Amino acid sequence: MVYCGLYPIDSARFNDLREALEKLELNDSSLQFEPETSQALGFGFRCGFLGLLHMEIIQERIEREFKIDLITTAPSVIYTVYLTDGTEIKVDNPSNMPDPQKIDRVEEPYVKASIMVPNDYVGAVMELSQAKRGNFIDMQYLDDIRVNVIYEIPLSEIVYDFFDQLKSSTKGYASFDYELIGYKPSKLVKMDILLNAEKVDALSFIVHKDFAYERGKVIVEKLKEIIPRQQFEVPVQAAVGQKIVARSTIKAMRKNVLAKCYGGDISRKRKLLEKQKEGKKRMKQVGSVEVPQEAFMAILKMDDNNPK
Amino acid sequence: MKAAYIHIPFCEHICFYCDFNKVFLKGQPVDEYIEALLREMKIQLEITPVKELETIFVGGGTPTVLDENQLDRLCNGIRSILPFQNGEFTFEANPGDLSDEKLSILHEYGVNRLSFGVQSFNNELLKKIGRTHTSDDVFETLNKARNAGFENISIDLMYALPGQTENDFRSTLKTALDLDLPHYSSYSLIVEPKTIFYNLMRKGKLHLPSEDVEARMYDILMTEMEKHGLHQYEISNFAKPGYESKHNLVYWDNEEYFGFGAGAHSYVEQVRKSNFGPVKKYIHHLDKEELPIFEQYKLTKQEMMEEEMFLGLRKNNGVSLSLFKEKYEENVLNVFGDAISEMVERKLLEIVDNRIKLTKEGRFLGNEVFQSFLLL
Repeated sequence: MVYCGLYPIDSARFNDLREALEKLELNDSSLQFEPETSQALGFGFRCGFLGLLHMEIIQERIEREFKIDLITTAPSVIYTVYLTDGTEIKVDNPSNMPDPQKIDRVEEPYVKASIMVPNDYVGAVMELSQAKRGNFIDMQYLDDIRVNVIYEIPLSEIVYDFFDQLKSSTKGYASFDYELIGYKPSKLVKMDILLNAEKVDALSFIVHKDFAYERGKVIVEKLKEIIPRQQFEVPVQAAVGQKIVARSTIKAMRKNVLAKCYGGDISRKRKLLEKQKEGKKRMKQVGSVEVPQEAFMAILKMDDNNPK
Repeated sequence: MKAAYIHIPFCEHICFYCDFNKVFLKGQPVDEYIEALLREMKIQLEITPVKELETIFVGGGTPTVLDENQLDRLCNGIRSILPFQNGEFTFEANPGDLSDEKLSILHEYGVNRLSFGVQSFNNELLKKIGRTHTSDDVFETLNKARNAGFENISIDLMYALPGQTENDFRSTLKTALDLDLPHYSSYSLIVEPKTIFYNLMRKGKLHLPSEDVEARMYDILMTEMEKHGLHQYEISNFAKPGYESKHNLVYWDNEEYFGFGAGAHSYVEQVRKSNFGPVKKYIHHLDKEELPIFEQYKLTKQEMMEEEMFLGLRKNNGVSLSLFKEKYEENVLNVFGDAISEMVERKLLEIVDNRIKLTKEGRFLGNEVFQSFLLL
């Protein structure tokens, strides 16, 4: 199962979203949801899906059939957290991860991944799996050409675009199969993102400690690209606990004004302004910053331009 | 109704940034077009007669590509069909296109304002944006125009052009201001779809100055103009007192105007209308004695009020609270209370002496303000 938060961009549509989910649940018993609140996004639902495709379909149906613009937070797996006081909790929302000093250890779900690929691409597969924190288990030659590579990989690493990356690094030859094999301890930390010095809970994510610094750097650059300039300068910071590990700055918007009156073509001017306003309406006001939908998924897509 | 725009869609060269309705002059039925144009004026004036027009603006395209006979025919027709005494009569002109004879024809028919598409005084930059004139052509044409008796002259200057630097723009501005003209328009380049620049940009081959550089250029523009006694009266327009373009003020004051010619836009009796753009189609409709209407839309009161704001706020003196009330019988602070208070809070708008206007920062971020007045 993967979990993500679904929030209406227009907070007034929370009840419509509830009704939409209830209707969808009628013929889809695998869909789970319960209300949750986010400081940044307001009222919404934490929803459980069978996988990414399922998640995308539900999201798409809500937007199309019920006409509700959504913010989807990055999908997360369920972590098991053992606290220092001996209790054990399940965390399906990264922002609910307890403070590091209260945590004894964290376990995350792993899968056993079998990747079948022509032997020319074994190197590429291993490189990718290694980058995804995979442990090499076995490699079997099925014949002269085909190889079955077996890795144990954290579920959180394959949830998003692992298969896409696998295909692109093997020219489409690889096939991929996986099964859940249970929980294993990992050195995981929560990374928080701050916009304009305010923590945005909906952007928090869980990351392996050894990758935290690098991921922080990539994510703040990515957010800088995605979040449009605002009237004021907006610092974007990534923090683990109290420690800022990366920072970028979205420069202030300096000029945005239609230059010319096109020979009296006012309708066109109006259309242009309407388009700009339409775009703005699809953004979520988080504190004083307007954040587009894609920003909330960006934390998963960051491998796209991660230099290898 | 006090204004008329007349469109001449022919050009000898196509500029890389231009997305107006225009075609290559060569092989076009120019004479037929002029006849159709005059017929359109006649039909429209029969439907909506007016006592007197205060402004006429002939734009393009390039109106000055018409030859002497065509120019004579056009001006003669305009003056016999449109009721016009001694208002503002502007022709757009391309530097280098105006012979002494053309100038004297224009002068004879009462044209009293010329607007030249100069764009830059940097010859290399001119080439890069698809202009074929040089800075020398500009000096020469301006001399000729002055000798022919034209004194109310405006030039257009563009900034944020590909490869343009702040210093380059400064030096273009200096040359422009040394000419001591009573009016300047200056626009930042906007890359519009269906232009040569647009295609270059999609291929990643157009390198434009950053937003920050563009903003600094705008700042330089405003500072230099004011220093030389040219007061900004609209986002992109500067004039010596009394030389503000009356025609363009009609648009920003949200008043009605005729629009004649292929692809021309008009605003008549609360209807925003546009004509067919293709020259042949335009002529064809007028051959049949019918108006060449492509699209029309009657504005609701709400839309009129919105436009009153996003057009009016382009002017430095903004929108008058009392005029708004007179025009719409509503208090602007009630109709647009939320937008206004948000924009005042963001320091983009201010209310001074019974007028709402953009602050200086607001002039840089006009669209942020304008769109807040749209009900969506």
